[in-house]
Amino acid sequence: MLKLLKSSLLAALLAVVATPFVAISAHALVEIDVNKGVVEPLPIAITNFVSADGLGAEISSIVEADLRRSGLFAPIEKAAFIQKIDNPDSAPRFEDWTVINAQALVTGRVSQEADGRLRAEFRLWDTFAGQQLAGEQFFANKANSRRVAHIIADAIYERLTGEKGYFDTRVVFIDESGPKSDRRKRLAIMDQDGANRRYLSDGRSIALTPRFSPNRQEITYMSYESGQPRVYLLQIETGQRELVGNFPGMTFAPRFSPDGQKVIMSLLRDDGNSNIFAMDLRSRTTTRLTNSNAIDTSPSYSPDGSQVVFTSDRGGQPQIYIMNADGSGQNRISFGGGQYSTPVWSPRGDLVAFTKQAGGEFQIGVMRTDGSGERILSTGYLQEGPTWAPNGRVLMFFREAAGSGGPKLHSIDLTGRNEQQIPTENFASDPAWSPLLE
Amino acid sequence: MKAGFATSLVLHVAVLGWGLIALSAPAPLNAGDVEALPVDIVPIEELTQILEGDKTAAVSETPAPKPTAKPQTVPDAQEIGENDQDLKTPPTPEAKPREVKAAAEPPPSPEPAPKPAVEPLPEPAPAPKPEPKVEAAPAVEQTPEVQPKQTVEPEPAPETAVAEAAPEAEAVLLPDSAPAPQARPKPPEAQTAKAPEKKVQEPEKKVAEKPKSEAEKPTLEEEVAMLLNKEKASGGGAKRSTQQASHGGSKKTATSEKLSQGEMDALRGQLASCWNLPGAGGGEDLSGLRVSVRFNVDPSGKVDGQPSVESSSGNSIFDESALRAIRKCNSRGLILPKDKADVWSEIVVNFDPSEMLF
Repeated sequence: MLKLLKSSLLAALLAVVATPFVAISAHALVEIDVNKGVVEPLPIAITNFVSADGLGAEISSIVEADLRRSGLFAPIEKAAFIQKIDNPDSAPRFEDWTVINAQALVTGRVSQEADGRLRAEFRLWDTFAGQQLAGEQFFANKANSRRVAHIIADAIYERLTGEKGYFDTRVVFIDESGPKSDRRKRLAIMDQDGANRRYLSDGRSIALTPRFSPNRQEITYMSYESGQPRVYLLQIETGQRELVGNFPGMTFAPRFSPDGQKVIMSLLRDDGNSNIFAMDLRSRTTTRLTNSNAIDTSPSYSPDGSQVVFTSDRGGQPQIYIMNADGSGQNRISFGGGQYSTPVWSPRGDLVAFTKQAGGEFQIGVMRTDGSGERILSTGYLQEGPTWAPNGRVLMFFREAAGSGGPKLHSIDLTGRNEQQIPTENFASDPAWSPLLE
Repeated sequence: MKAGFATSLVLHVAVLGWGLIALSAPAPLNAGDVEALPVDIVPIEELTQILEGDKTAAVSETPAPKPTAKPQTVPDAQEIGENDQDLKTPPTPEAKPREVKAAAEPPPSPEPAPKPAVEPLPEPAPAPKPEPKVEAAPAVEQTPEVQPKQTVEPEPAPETAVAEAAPEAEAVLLPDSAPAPQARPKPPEAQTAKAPEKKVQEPEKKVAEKPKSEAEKPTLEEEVAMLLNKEKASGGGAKRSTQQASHGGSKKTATSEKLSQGEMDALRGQLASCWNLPGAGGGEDLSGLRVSVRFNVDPSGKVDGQPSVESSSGNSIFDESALRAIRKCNSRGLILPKDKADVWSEIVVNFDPSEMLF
């Protein structure tokens, strides 16, 4: 008791002694808290890259389109530019750019090397600070000029937002052509902006749910090739195909593990129950992860490979569950009304994206991995199959508007803003985003 | 039927009538005549902050330090010697010898005599040495481009020499260090024309000035001593106070003025509108980040120098967004109350997006 009194006295004394110092140190300046800002696209000026031919302008227009589509940048109309950049190596006149409210400026040059390769360089300037933020150059085959532009856009995106970019990526999807009664579904691949589309299968048999390998140019998907749904592996470059596992029964909903060594999928037995299996691609050994009398499907690994998220209707209707990678510790994380399906773990590991059916509508949403913080990003007549951009900031999914006749691909920011349709020639569904290309 | 109806009617009317009388008025709420008390919310700061004043003076509404008297300006010494008093004419040598009249008379008399005699001799010599000689030599030797450099500067030198002796030493210094950088940017052709004019003027002035400055010229030793003297010219004293002294502390703990809440809000609003949060693609990572940026503002509302991060959020992109906000606001100028310029000369802004909904 005495001790307590002593210590409190001492504390009081200290407080009295310390007060004037605090008061003195705090004087003669204004201190304010700014607790909110604006969330608006960053105004950025992207000049035509200096080049002998039109390639410079083409590359800078691809960069501009990438940044604009991300929703985080507002490229300024070129007509508003005051200074014409002739020499990208010298510092621009910053006041010419701040006056048109450009907060960042991109200059660059595209030239041809003696060996025929393309040399592209760019500089990113902070106009208000008057300094260079980034400057890089790339050498590439001329045929890869689009990729060079995407890489430059990634570098700018990363420097200004602090997040990894996602422009130098591809998307595999199911291209749907023909009338609804006789839909031809082909496996196709394109750049994330819709360019460079090519087909990976001929469309004789229906292909579904393609998924990218995290580290090889490989796709796993489900196809009806052999009469019943089976999971296949496809080498993108060679077109070589192989069956994954030889199970009695249907296999579907495949997905790679983060190290690319395993494929996890559902196996439907004749008794109508499906369970989750993982297969090691090297040793070809399979491991059974769930053993329930319910339908367990749509497995997806966490980015560290230690856990798996999946859906199960063991509780009466499909809900999202998480288990360890060996099948232990199965826990339900979603408790909302409605039916949950196609959970996908974010590449950043913090969120799970899902499709939810509630109130006669389909919703795309995200929740934390403990099931809290559920947020619906988009609602529509029929939409499902979210896939994450490699930076975990953007989702792509397919949506069929009522009466539109077929699905189209859409992307949306994690904030629920900036929803955009991906331009595709035909109807498209089941997108799967690739990791950043090597 | 009729009887039932009548009974019902009567009973209803009876019940309703009773209800009207018995249940109509609740007890009146007696609101007493309470006079409204005016309440002022006064920040305690106004009472606790100590303002500069005089400890011994009487208490008045606004503390003020003792009025400062403007120090008398002592004219610069014209004669630099061991004299206690400043003498305009150099008769000192004359006076001293007188005391020792008997023996020493002959020697002192020659002394003063030679002094003035010696003076004029060295004088033209030192004067041209630092000024015209340095000018003239390069002028002749070097290309016309260089000429204007030195010809321009010497001009002030003779002028100051006329007025004061002490500044002259500084003026002598200048030609050594300054000419080269100053002359370069100047267009060469225009000045080659000017150069001769000035040269013509200079000699005229010198002729006129010489007699005046003869006596005031410091000797070579004095000149060296002046050059070696590193004592800075003393500037003005503390801020002047014109008010009568009144009670207060010897040191103030707070400025007498503060930005009002409205002015703070205005500043906050300006900065918030300039602050574009990075990574708006999914703001969850930003919550909990906080960066303090310090910057100085000049009286026109422009940021003076570069804003600096005082305590970083640990996220360089986030820090940059805060700096960019200040630079962006600066490009259109901060709007601040002009009369409180000394209050907002230094501003610390803590950026944290806690009020943002992601």
